[in-house]
Amino acid sequence: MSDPLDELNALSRSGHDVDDWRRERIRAAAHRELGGPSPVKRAWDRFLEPGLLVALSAASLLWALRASAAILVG
Amino acid sequence: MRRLREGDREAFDVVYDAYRSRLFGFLARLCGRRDAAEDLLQETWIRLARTAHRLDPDTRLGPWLFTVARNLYLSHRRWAVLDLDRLTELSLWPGGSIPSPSPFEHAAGSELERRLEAALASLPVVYREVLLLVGVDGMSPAEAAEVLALRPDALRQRLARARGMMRQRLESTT
Repeated sequence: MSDPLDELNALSRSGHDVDDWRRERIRAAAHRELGGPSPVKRAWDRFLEPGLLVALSAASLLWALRASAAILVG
Repeated sequence: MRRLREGDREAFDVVYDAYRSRLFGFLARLCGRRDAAEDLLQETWIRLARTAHRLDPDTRLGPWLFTVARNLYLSHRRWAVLDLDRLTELSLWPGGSIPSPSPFEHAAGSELERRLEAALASLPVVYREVLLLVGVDGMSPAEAAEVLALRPDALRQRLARARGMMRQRLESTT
């Protein structure tokens, strides 16, 4: 019996593909995503959202510390 | 690659037309279902489009695309198994393994193709994927090892085992 790897090569020529509608839908969806996110979205993801999170966390921590101190000091 | 990184649609189309059919065949034979393969194919191309601007200039797109497609399939499979477990728990499914006939078996152009599709579909996924990459898609063992995240010697062993199993399956259907 011949090598199954050589025989499998027959399947590479069968050329199965998605139908035309799906093919173009995928292409259009990918085109919309090309080039990565917009500069505004990138700035939001990289700086604004993490910055906002840090600021809110710091404010909550400060508030908690002050509240604890007020109770302890009387 | 440079044009693709810059978001050039024509460059994307060249890659899309070169690899779409191969990726679809790979995914469909892994999943055993055309509809799931189509969804995973779409997700693979969207991943490329989203991350193209971050790719290294020397990225080899073939192995990269197959790696993404395979990872998406593995993720999809985990969810499918969870679903099957839930169905089994609820006694809606009689149990046993997920049926996965080849989606191309009925469309095979010749008796040999039909036998190959059936034999491939009957193999466990770890052996099927290595045969698909090396045997059907013509990847070098080094490229296939990269896609499957295996060391070259582990790839060689797995390929030898897969060949043996495939030969056995083919002989039993002769």
